Amino acid sequence: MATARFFRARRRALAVVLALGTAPATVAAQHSPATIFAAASLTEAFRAIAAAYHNGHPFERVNFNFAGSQQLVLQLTEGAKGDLLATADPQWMREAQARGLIDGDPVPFVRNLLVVIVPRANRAGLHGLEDLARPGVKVVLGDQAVPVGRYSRELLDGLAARGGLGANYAKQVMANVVSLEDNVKGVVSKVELGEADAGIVYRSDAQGAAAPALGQIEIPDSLNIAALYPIALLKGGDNPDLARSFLAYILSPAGQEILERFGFERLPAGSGAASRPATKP
Amino acid sequence: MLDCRLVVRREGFTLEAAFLVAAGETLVLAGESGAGKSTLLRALAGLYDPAAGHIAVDGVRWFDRAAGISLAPDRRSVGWVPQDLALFPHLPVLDNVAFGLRARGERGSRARARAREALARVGVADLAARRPGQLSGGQQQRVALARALAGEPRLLLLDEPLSALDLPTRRAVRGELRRLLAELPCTTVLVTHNAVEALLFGDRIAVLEGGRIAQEGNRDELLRRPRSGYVAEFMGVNLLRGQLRGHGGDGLAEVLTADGPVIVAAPANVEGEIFVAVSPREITLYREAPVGSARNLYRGPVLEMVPEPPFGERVRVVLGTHPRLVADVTREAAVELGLTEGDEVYASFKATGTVTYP
Amino acid sequence: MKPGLGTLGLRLLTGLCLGLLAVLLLLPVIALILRVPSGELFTRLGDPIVRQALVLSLEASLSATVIVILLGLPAAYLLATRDFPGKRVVEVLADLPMVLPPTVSGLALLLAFGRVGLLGHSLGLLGISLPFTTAAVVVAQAFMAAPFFLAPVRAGFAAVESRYREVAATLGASERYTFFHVLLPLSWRALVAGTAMSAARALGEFGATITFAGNLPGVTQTMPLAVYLELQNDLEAAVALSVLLLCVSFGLLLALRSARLGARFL
Repeated sequence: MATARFFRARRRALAVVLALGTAPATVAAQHSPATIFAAASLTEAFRAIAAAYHNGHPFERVNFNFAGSQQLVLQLTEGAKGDLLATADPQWMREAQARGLIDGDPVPFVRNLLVVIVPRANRAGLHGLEDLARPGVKVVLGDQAVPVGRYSRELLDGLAARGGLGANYAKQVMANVVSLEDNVKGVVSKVELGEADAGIVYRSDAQGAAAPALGQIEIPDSLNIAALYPIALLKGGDNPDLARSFLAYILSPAGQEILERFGFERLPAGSGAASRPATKP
Repeated sequence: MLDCRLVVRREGFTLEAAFLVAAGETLVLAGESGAGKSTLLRALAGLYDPAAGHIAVDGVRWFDRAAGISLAPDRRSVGWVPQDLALFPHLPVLDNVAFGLRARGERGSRARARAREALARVGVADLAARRPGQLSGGQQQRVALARALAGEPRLLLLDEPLSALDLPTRRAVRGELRRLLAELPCTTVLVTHNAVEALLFGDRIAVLEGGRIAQEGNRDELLRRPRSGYVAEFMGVNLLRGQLRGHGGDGLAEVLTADGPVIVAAPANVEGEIFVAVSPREITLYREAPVGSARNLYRGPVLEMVPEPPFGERVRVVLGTHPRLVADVTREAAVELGLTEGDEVYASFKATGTVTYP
Repeated sequence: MKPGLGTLGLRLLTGLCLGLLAVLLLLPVIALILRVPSGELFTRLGDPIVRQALVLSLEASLSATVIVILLGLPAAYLLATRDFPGKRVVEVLADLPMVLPPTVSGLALLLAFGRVGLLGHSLGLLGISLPFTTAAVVVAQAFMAAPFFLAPVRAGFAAVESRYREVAATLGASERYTFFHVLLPLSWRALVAGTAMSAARALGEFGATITFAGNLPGVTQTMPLAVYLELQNDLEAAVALSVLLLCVSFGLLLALRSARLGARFL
């Protein structure tokens, strides 16, 4: 649990720095907007946070760039400018760090558990996890390159090993996969439209705008994968002050509450740990 | 044999024409551009649907509005040569000529043999392997003819066949085309705006004016007895009309026209409303009023002087007299008189130089 | 006036415009090529995933092009030679995939042919389910590539003087005979151009494919999709694949342009 302590200490330190940083709040004339690169799964939640933030800071503007975490890191590597980066897993954040894109250290700010979604009509009649392995069921997952895709595979492997669904479970489900989407929203839309019978996405996606069109199959917490979302300041942004302020807001109770509303989970008090071992990508 | 009546709608007017042409005969449709001649031809070819009427060729009805019959062009036995010839640029001459035969299902070798015959008939058999783009205007014309004739059509339609050619070629081809048309067993309808060609090719000539056939007849009739100012002008003849007032004893008579009395030569039995035709060559021009027995004398300005092709040996002089007269004089005479446009001259013609008819 | 100066000015302007155009079009291609070490390309070709994607791409775009030609020829002919009520609308519809964002097109295809789409139920009864299949890739490519065939071919047909078709008719040729023996030969350049463009468009198709057909190696993962996903994992690999795709596309266009279809014409 060295990682946990590592994160915890850093988090506290960062919080102090941020608080100091925003104390002399100067509301001068128009600042340049801050650009936030965030994983696609954070779309609705972050927009809501930005709206709430704007209420308290009417002169500040925040722009978003939502995409698969892997794409965000690629864009930044090739020279795109941003102020904040929030990825859907620590691996891509580490990658960003390795490429020298991060200013300071990243901080985990929320986590997201997985859920199986089905179309509301559920013509395929899927009710439990075991149904995913049924021959002929059309399953859509994220691609390996996408965090949710990797998490999905780990989930399936975990279910095969410990979930009492049979050793071949993961293989059987993978055999039912008809498409590997390049971001989580792609999985949602295929299921939403009824083209796929089931998909594995984050809980936040199941509760988002598409919720009315979706049904869910719960995954027991003990077997679930919790995706840890880190966030970090980026080097070379247009408005680092605004970025720090916004980051603080995200970490604040107000921000966290909004995230919860959208299906994310607060980090367990005091741990901030990933509930899976840090493996090499 | 062609028996047709066609009502054709053009911008601004409706054209109505009816004619009967015997097999082997050539009918010339003459008139100004825009009169609807080409449209009539297209109607005969089946490329245009007339508003009313009928077309029957050798007894077969190709079109009958009332009966709801309208054969598509490919079902008619017709050969159509448009003004721009439209030889297929992507085929050599032989394949151009054989096109219709092969389209109708004939085997390649036989079609090509028949095509060669058609080419020989128009005198260009040696051009079989060439491309249309490599041919001169006159050669292209002949190939287009061969192509239209290869299928032995019952009706041949030629749209301004010589208009695209330069003058020397035109004169050379003219005679040959005349001979060819005379030999053909099919009925031919030929369109032209050139009076000389009309007279040359037409067994019968129909002059179109103002949406109708102003006059139809053989060349003799049209030349000697034009029945309207337009036809006369087209034929290049001076035309007067009036009431014959009285016969003199010597075969002459007086006719009262709108522009005054005219002394004409008229047989005793001609009476009433008559036409008087005066050939332009019968008109003599003077600088001063002539003395003597010249009977019909007019005075007016020279409006236009047009040397006649090809060498300008004769000059057409358009006079602003009442009535308008066109004189045809030798170049020497024009020079002698010192004629220039705007000059006031006297023009006269003898009664014996007139032709009268009812 | 000063004619000499004018010409010089014109030449400079032309040179400037061409230069800018070259930069816009050529530079990205050159940059791509320069980034790849030469041996790398062949190594990549050895990768089964890559070969799979390449083969799938070629097969799908070939099928799509054939479909486009078969359906497009009569459509282009009708649009070029006939007038009918609603013709304007049809013309606009025929151009639509060219201007729609590919993902929008993909979505539209899903809504039409997807399992729960307009035709989905009927297709399902026939045992056909399109999304996630290679057939869907072909459909998506054909949909996006069709306008690139229709536009030049339609213009090519219309440019053939109607007089030729009229003469052919009077000579006894049926409309079908005239189509094959007069219209096609006289517009072959437009046909080649249309085929080349639609084939290239089909080969490069991405947005509609991933939306309608999905992404599964060996079934629906075409080269552009493979490049895109590789892009996120391994930039160098992505570049190598891109150059590979570039070579294939270039070769295809070159072959089509050089095709002396009926070189005996003109």
